[in-house]
Amino acid sequence: MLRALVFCFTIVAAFPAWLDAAPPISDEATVSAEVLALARTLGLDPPRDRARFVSELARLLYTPPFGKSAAQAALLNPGLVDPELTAAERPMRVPVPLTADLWSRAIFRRTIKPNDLIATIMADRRAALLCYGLAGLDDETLGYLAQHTGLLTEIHQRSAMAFAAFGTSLRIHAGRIVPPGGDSAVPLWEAVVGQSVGSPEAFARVLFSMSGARVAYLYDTIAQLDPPNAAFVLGAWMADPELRLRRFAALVDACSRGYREWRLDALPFSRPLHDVSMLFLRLRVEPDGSLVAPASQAFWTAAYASDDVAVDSVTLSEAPGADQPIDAAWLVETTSGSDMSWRGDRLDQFAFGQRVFSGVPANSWAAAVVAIRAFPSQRMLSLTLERMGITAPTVYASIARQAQRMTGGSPQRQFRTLGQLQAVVALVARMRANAALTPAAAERLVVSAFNVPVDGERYLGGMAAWLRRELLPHLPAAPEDADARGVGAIEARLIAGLAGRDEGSSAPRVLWEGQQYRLDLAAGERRRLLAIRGKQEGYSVDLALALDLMARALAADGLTIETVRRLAGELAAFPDTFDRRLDSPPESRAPGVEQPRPARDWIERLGDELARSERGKDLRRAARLAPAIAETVDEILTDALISLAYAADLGETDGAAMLARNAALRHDFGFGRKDTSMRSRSLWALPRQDFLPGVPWHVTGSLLGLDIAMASLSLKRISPDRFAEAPRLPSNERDAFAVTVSLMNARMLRDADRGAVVAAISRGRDRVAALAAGRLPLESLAGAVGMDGWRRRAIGWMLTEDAKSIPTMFSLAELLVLGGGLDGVNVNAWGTTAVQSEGCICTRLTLPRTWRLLSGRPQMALMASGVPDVNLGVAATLAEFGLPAALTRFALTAATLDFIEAVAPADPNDWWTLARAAQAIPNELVEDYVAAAAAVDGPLVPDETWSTRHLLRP
Amino acid sequence: MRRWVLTFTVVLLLAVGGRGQERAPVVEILSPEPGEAVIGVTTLRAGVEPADAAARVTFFVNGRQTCEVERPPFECEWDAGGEVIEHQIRLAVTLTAGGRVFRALRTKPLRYDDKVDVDAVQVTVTVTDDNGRFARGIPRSAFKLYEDGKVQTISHFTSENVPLELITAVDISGSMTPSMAKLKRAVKEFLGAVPPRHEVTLLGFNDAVFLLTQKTTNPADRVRAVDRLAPWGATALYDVILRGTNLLGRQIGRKSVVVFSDGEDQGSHVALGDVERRLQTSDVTLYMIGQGRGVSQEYLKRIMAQLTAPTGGRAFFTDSVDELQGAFEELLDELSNQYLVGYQSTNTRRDDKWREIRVEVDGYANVRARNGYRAVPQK
Repeated sequence: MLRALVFCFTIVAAFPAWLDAAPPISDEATVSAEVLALARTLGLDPPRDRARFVSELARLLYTPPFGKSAAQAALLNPGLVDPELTAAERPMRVPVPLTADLWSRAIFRRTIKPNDLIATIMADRRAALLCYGLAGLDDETLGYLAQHTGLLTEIHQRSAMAFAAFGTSLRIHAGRIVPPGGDSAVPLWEAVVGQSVGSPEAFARVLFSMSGARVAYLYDTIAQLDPPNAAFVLGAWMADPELRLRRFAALVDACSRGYREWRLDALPFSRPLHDVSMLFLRLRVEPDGSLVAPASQAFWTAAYASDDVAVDSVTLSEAPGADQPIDAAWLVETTSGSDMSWRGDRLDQFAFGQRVFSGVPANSWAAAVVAIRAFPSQRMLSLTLERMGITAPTVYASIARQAQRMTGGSPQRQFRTLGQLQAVVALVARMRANAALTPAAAERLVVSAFNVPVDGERYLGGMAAWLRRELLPHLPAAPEDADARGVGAIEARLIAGLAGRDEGSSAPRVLWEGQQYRLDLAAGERRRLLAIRGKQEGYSVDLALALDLMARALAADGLTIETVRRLAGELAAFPDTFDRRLDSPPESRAPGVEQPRPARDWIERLGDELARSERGKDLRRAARLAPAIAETVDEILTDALISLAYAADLGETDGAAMLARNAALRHDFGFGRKDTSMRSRSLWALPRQDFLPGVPWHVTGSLLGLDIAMASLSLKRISPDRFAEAPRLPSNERDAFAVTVSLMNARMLRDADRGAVVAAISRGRDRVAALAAGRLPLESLAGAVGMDGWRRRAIGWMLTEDAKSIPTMFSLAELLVLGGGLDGVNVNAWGTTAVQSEGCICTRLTLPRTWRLLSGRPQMALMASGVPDVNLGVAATLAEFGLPAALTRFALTAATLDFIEAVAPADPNDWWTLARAAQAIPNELVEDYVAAAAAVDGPLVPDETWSTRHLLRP
Repeated sequence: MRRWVLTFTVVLLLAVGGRGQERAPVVEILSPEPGEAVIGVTTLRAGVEPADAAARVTFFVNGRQTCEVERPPFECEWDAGGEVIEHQIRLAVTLTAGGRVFRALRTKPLRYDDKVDVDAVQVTVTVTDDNGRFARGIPRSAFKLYEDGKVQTISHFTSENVPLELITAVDISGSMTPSMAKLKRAVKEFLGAVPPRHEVTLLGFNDAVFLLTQKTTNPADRVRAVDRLAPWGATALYDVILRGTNLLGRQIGRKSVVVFSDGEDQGSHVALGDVERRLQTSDVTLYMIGQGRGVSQEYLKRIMAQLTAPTGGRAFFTDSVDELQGAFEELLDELSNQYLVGYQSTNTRRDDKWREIRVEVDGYANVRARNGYRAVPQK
């Protein structure tokens, strides 16, 4: 009996007193027609968004763009709301954190009627932000706050902005703060905050107010990270607890001093660009929390020390501790300057170094350091080499030095040398991506292209010889119909290489809408490229190479009159052979770049000269023509190669870019920039489309990455009358969606991977159905996908109020995670652009759990990076149709355009609306998207060679 | 035989796919035929048996939706362009009973360019009397046509009420935001006044070009389409003029492009010179209605005049609804009182050189027509 009493007493004592008579922690309140109407004007759909109505309304009201004062005023005076807007609304009840009584007592200090509660909260900025923060808490934490009204009052009065931004990471369990990192991190947080986790009220009060809420920001950031990354930041890998504590304090200090431009008070939902959360999110970390090599202080100190690309300029410190790994504090101290662009460079350098050089031995570190140093000024070169799969630091270092030597000199000559060099690298990279070249061959080709000698800033036919000697032997034969399209034999071979490896008889057979096809990725692309090159006016590679042979023959020892006669004869046939390729269209060239001499006239004069030499039997006179011809070869080859490099990314043959005679010739490397440093960076910068008044459309930057710059051209409009009203999705987000499609490699979309993805989504859907049916606890699913507190609370409410709508609360990416079983599956091939989120030219399957770390930076178009649901949805539909996975990219070129023009997110942080809209793409539309693949330039090629057994295959 | 194959395919699809209905209607593409070579305006025709089985018939050409028809005859026109190239025609029939049935075929490419009427030169002529009134009923014999000073023989002549193919392009770029409401009213007024016999294609443009209605003769359709316009994006003015000119095709007849814009190009893929050159090689008359900044900025007015004048068209600059109504009346009156004169040039070379055209009309000093053209070499 005594033991039983003691046991009962122990149980009671284990629960804190504040749970004894726990008051209700949430309520339902009626939303008036006026507030509903206002919510609609802000982009909310009240019936659909009922469960998250309060938090979303608060967020939208107090997120830029401002100018929502009319809406705020109308909350206080419903009479201001247009009666026409309210007529269609019916008041409805929605969940609210805390009760009307608590709001009245702790916040407003006056009695608020339940029916006025929402309007009253929303009209008060700090109350609305507090409400937003409260809606992201778990029940136990919310319950604690409900019992500690003094803390609520103080947060409302002093820290509402910080609480809205980071409050969701506050967890109070059994009367104690549960900080990010769990028990092992408690000493760190207690030391930094100066309060015990056993005193939640004091801890929370300090956390949300100290250092302008930057500590709370770090707290929240670490709470969102994957466990290994969080372990790295918290120094879990450090053996010495004292050192760990010191370094954590240094991290907090660095975060508190950095990112001075960030104004949390003014913009609670905005985040700094290139800051700690973006840094920590990108880190590549071992499961135990240690950084992936190279991680030594000596390495990274040298990498960040200068931009000198000479290997012998690299000194790896041997000072004590230099061989120790860097930690989070070191990283933040090194990357958190006040210049956002500088910060971006540093973060991108670090991510690049980790991606590419993680396996390099210490004896190659000097070269790797050079490569990392070169990254900011040669960004697209570095990223293109990475994209090709090159990992040898010596290759990067050597190429970086060659590239640096090419910056400077006259714009006209630089245009030719850079134009030829960058164009051939772009062509090789494309051929590599399309499997026309092996990785080893591509690497050798790029290295050899950079080794082509430059004489007085000129190649003088060197690149023409490189093409003939190095590249052409790797390329397939010219397609049969090349001639009919007005494309020469050499260009046709280059085009065959660009189109990619021919699958031949192994190409998958497809039965679609009663027709028999084979899926031939190369054939459709080849036809498209031939058509585009046929339409582009201007010089050809064939012409350049023919002239180059002529120059070499004239310059060769032992020149004879017979040779001169033969060459004169060949030259006389040029007008017939090359016809319109002897003319260059008068395109508006970039500043500093002149229109080339008309080749037709020049060749006519050359013919006269040769004829005179022959008549006079003057071999010296003939030989003297060689240098001038070589210079002309450079002129012609530059235009031709740039045109080819563009052709790959100009989109449809009748697209907008093809209205121009040859827009490629307008390419602007940035020679017109006045600032020397900016000019030299522009040569290798990520290219971009320029839309300027009075200047024809053109692309500025490097020729590498044209698929990113011109990604919007890769999208197809299937239905011209599906007229787009002004899109709600911001233009940078639309562009980022286009980049996703452009970067997606159809050859990497494998049926087996898709099968695994679709099966995982299906399993995930089953688990969500089980949740809605009450057979699975919410926490088991929410925890697995790292669901934010707001949705957890909303789904918790829906379980009793609207269970059938619960599946709409999960994105396809989350269903994929819930389904699991994806080991060994290349899910990144189905992902979204990581250009902004990770700084690589690649796709990544980013999960919504990372969205909170990415959000708040509308300038960076990170929403498109975080929502892969369009890709996944279309892939699943194609699987349902029994079509090959590789067709997904093609279908997405049309699906994505329709999607980005139709989707209507409430603001640039409303990823959820995007995820839901992606799941609503009807199958009928996807049928039309797929059918476009059977168009003449598409990858579905009619195939009459089938036997009846093919026809009966599913 | 073809019908048998199609029927067999439908039955087979039902057997293996199950995406059809229990009693499938017979669906086929009647025009063009598989392997047919097509050029210029081409009829797309579907056969559906029984006809009431189809709720909607949609044609796609080369993957793009070209037209949608909801009642028989299930046909529409499509411009296959000036080259005989391969096209994929896809028919999607939405059944009243639910589901869709598909057919597809490919047309045949030819390895040479078309020779259809390439040497015919058309000139649209506007004649006014000394009081500025349009002169009507002038006989063919009163017209004299010169090319580079050499008199040409008129091979065809049409006066008054010549059906007009009209492209109306409306600037919906962000720069038009302040004047959008006025613009919509103006465009509606204009379209409402275009006589029903004229075919009107309505384009909206910003940095892209949107086809709002295609060759419709129904004024209500045109006006409805205008209601959907909303301003956003940049202004690809030159692109839309070039696209509009290309859309008008090659057949004989009067063709005009009317552009409502502020005249400030931003981000066109073609340059001003390219547009001028394209207009020089076409028989399109270009009119521009300057709106917004196009009314006040002299350099924009100059560009609009520079584009329209050589085609025989004009530019109007006004934001005032009243003045616009007057301008429209004038423009529509002009469009209804034009003469179409055609000739085979005595200069058969396609040398890409500019050739000056001069039109004289006995008894009239005020004659407006395009002032020349360029005979482009065939590619």
